[in-house]
Amino acid sequence: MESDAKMSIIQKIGYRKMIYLLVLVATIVPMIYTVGLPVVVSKQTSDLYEFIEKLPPNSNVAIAFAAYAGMYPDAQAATRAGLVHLFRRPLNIVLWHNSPDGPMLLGGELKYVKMGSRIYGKDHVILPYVAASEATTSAMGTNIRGVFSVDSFGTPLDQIPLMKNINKATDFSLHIVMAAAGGNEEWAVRQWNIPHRVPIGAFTISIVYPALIPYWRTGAIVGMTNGVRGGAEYESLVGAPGPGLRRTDILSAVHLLYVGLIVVANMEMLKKKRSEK
Amino acid sequence: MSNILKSRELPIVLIWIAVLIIFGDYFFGGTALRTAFTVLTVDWAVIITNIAIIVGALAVLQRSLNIARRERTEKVERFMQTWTVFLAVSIFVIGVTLGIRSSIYSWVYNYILLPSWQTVYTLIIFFMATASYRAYRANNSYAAVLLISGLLVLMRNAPVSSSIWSGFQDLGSWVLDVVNLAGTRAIMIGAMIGAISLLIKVLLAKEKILGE
Amino acid sequence: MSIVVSGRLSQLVFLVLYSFLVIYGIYRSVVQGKIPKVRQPAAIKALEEAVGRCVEMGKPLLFQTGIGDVSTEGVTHMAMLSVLSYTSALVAQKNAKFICSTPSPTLFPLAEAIVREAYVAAGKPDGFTSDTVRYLSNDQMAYCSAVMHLMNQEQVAANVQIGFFQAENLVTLEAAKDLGAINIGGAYRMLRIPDMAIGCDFFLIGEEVFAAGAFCSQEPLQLGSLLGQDMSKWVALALIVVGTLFTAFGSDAIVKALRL
Repeated sequence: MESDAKMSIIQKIGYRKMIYLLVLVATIVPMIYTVGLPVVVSKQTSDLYEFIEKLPPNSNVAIAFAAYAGMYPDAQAATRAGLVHLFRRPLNIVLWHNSPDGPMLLGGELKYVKMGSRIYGKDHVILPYVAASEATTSAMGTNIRGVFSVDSFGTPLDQIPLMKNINKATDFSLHIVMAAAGGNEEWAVRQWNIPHRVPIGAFTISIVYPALIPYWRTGAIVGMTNGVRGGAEYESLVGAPGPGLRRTDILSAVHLLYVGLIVVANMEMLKKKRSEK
Repeated sequence: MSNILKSRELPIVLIWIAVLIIFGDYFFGGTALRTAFTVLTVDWAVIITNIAIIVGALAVLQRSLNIARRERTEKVERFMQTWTVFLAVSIFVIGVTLGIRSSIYSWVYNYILLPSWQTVYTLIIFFMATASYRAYRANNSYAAVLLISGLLVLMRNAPVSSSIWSGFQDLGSWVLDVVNLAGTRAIMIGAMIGAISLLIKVLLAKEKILGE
Repeated sequence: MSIVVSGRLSQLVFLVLYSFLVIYGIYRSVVQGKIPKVRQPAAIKALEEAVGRCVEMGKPLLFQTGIGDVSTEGVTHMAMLSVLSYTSALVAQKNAKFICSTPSPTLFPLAEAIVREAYVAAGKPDGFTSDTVRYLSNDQMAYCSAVMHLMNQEQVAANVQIGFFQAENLVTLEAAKDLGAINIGGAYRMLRIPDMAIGCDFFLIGEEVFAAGAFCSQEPLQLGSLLGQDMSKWVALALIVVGTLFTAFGSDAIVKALRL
């Protein structure tokens, strides 16, 4: 009688709504009661960290900031930790936007970056937005001034001290793609790494991560992060706790819920098969 | 003139020119080809895309207004269509007149647009949960392999997995770094060969959508 | 002084080789009349069944063109337009309700032209209205919401998503599943193949998307190009095997040759 009443409640609500409710609980409860589980750093993330850490001082690093507002929370943690790390090291940074949302989102992230003794124009430059495509990535690889004539503040590139000796891919020691929604990393491999041998790093969303593993194995991509989890890993390496480490509990809870749902579904299926026999 | 623009040969000629410039620049280099490549792929691509965005925006506005004006449209729908058009035009005017660095545009972006986008993106986790429940069933041996590999990768990605059993990291990484790698490379190679085949058919003007 | 840019000679050789194989496949099929036998994927057969289903239920078939500009994903969009041409011809012939939604402003006029042409060719120009092809939004998430609303409003019986998609893919597939519609999909990107596998009843993987035009039309030229594609894959496979053996025995001759 009791199980019949329970079943009728589930039947009334419907399995879809039950699942949505469970997902909601799995995301809200860890927000309130945090445990702070440790994160094991994966090889791909540590490779990226080590590569950036070992870059000689005054190396030039190119960053394609390709964040889209909708999926940005997935890559936010890694992006923020990556920017903190890159700006902390004595590297020359040239950053451009590959998404229309980039300028708005980057402004929010740079608040967490300690500029220290950095001087705009001497050790870092922010270029404007250019539509992301393999063609523009290729064009940037051979002639940056063919794509951008001014920086994002309207200053001609020839008047910027840092840009005096930088105009093509081979002027850089590393090309990083940040928060891209997929495609940008492969374009960078094809247009910067294969023809010009520039190493590529990726702070990427979790959906894109499995597709980049072949490139990491061949060494074209020196390292990459995996969505929120990768962000938490990178934050722990850099020593800059942020949204990634705060979200590990939610990540764990939702993943365990998915596993639970899969197990329940298969148990139901087996039960149904047995009763049919 | 209109006959030339409407002819089936014109798109084929333009495609040949584009392909020769792009391939020529990549394989043979040279300043002239590089300039032509940049003009074609950066400048003209931006112009075409921006014109298309304007055309698209006007099409959406026109459609919304038509729906709002139709007699059989319900009042709620009429109100929502009109309100959406008003919002879209207002945000456009704010952005163009005050600039994207203005405080009003920043407020609209950070407190209206950004939460809207992120909310819809977050729907994915709900749908992924129902998809997992519905589709991850070991009906046959292939489905069982998919199920097991999916579970291993799920557990690898969950930070708590290392606290449950350290093997999840290794096994999940093996699935990603070995099995997934092989499959990805195979699909990539096949897809690129398919793309070359499609290109050949287009260049030979034998692809149906361009007309034969 | 080398004519070809350093490091790209082997790429040029393979491009020419693969192109030659495709042209040979076409020649063999069209000129010599040796048309290869090709299995038709379930997804293409399912298109006809889906149209029939829509006619029986009196509900529309929704065709989504995929996101992104023609300039960035031109090859995939061309493949999708072949399928759109085939689907709209079927729909026009069988008098099924048809909606084509697109998030791409560059694809919108192309899709409109193709669908209109299909209706005219079927002798039913009145079947094509201004609402048949709809540009919804080029923003991914706005498009996703709009499609979900469209599906609910029109109660679609079949949803076709073959082409280039992003994160909205799984959401729209599940939304269609919720309504009881059948999903027919196809993706060449690795990122989207898992979504398609879970969300679709029938789907095309990888190069099957590019070959969709051949599967749909069954023309000798198209089938011949499939043969050329398969021969190219055999060459790639042979290279993998030879390269693996050479590397296993400590020789980097193949690697050096590929770096020429």
